Amino acid sequence: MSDAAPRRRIADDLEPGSLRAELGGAPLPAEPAPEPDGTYVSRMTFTGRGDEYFRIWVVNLFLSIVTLGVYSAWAKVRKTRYFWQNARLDGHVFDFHGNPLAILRGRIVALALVVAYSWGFEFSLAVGFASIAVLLAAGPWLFVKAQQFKFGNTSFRGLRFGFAAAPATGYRIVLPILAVWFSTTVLAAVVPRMSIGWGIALGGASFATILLIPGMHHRLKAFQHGHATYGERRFTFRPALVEFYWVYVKGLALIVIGGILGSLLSAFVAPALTGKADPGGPDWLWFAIGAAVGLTVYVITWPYLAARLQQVVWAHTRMDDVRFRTEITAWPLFKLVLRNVALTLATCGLYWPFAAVALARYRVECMRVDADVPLATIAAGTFARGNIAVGDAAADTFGFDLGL
Amino acid sequence: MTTGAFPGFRFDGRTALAQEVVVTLEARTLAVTAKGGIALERMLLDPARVSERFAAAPRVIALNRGVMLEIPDADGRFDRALAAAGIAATPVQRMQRFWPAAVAALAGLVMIMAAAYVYGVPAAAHWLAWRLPAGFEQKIGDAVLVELDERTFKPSALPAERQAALTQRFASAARAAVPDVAYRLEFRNAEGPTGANALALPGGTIVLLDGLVAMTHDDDALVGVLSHELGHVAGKHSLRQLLQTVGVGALAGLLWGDFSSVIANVPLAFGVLHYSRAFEREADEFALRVLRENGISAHPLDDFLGEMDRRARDKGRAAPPAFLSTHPPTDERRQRLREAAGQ
Repeated sequence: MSDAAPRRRIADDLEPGSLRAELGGAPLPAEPAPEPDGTYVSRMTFTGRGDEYFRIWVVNLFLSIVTLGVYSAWAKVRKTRYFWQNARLDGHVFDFHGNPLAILRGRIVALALVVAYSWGFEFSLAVGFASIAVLLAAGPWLFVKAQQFKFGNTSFRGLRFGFAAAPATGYRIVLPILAVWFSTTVLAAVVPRMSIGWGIALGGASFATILLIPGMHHRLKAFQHGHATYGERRFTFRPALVEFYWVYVKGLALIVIGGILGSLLSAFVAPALTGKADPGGPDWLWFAIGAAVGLTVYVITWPYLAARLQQVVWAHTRMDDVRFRTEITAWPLFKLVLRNVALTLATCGLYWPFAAVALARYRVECMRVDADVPLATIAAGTFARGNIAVGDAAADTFGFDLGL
Repeated sequence: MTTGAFPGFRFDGRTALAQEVVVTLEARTLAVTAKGGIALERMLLDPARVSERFAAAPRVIALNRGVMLEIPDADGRFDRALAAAGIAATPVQRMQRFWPAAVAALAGLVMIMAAAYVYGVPAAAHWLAWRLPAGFEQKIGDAVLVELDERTFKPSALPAERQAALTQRFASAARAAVPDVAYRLEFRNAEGPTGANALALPGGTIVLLDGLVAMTHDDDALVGVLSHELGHVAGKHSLRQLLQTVGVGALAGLLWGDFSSVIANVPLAFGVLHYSRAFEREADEFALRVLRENGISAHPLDDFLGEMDRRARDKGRAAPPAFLSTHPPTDERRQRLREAAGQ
């Protein structure tokens, strides 16, 4: 009991609020005040820095290569923790608790599936169909597991997020999407090559798939945001199918514009490179032109699609009486992406971590959380789900990077 | 001994309520005190449950029963207290914080990637090429030929007796020099710029296009070209090229995995180009050996390459710089042929 005495003495002295400044701690967030309409608006901030993340990135990369990719799972955890622990809402940070072994398992399974899918039909029709059957059977389950891993391992204010969807719901939502996605591959393998029927079937299936992409994307987002949980609270998603299609139609226009711009660009650049205005240039030139056009289309289209879809998705997401919105817009995002791509190319990739931080900062700091009472009040009334305090064991089956 | 007192937040894991607390460190014992001096936790600190230090992020400490602490540490005072308590950064964390170590990691990365690209991937592809089942290579070659037959090739317009004569001529030359290399010669026709060509597919199929036969004035040149292709067959170049492409793709994926696939494919394309140049040189040497063993002069092949080069230039196709070309510069190849012919 000898160490009890100093403890008690310190405890008597310490009145947390009053001693904050004296102890050199960060100032408490200002007392929240509502907007004129009575809404409490909470903004997010991001404190990550490019030079700091550069070192994490380069060490992660080095160790991943040295260990032939095994360390990449640990690298993923370190990177995710860096980004979440630097994202603040209402003075508190997020955190990530993913188990690297689960990520490693997920990566091995994903690699096997990708190899089976891309090479299956090259090998034989039977192997091709077998790999598609495995993907159809396991895909929805894996998708649900991936969401459980991602949400269930993210926490805020000591409570875990979660993904509360039964496997059956996963199959109902994801199976049709997978079926549409594989239809072109299956048709290409089954219908006799180079016949008129082949062209019609393949063209029809590709066209139908393209028409359905906005709907499939919406279906996945609705599934994701409609089953996410925070403690015992549940997120809800109001359908936004028409908005999704509208954004994609305008995005398609940008793809066309980007394609024309990229082609014009290469029409001027290609002769300058070869010294002759001749379409029959060497192969590497065609590759360079293809890459330039692809990159132009990406830089022009992605910011618009990402910004508008983020707006739609968050405007339709709620958690009880907590509302979300993002002030992300296409033009600033376009300028940021253009700058990121240009500097990354100019530095042979070394700017990449700075670009990732800049993009994260913009996206995070555009987020707004609106509520009728201060967030702290809502937090006080938000409880953990069940008696799970340290996370869902089911969340650790597989860790996937689906980029969704 | 008290090493310091730090204000922070405590989350009990049951609600999202943030409780203001003061954390004290006495040696490795961590104590959490709430408003009014109420002692909440007191425990030996487990280094594995303290988050690593990031410049602007708070330190997150997991206590028992789902309790979490969030301790702001902008000035690094808490970090120093942890270090004094014997909870130091791991080697990886120290590496990440220390610029020279990060730069060294970058240098190491560049060297490892360069070594893997120049030596590792080709060696691995070489090793694997002779260990994969023969049926696998044959299957790929057959699939490629079916694909080419459907899209590009037409049946050869050469008279059957001319085909038979060429097949016979090359077979005796190959038998004399390299009897153990199995191959199959196929005749096809193709229009357009690819028409004057010969190619070696995985599994040993050599395709000779009519355009190339029409261009040569001397069958010795044709034997030279076919021997060059036989060199590709003997070295399993097509299969190795394929495996190397996959290998370089995997390397690029490791490096740029989280970036645009466009960027990831740039090193891939350069990789393919680079490797095929090494294979072309090897195939040229193989062709010279076949010609030498048969007492055939390398001059017709040399003249033929010159003719190909002239035609390419006439069509206005400027030769790309050497490092971008799939074939070594023609001048360099002809130089080697002339040297061999002169011996």
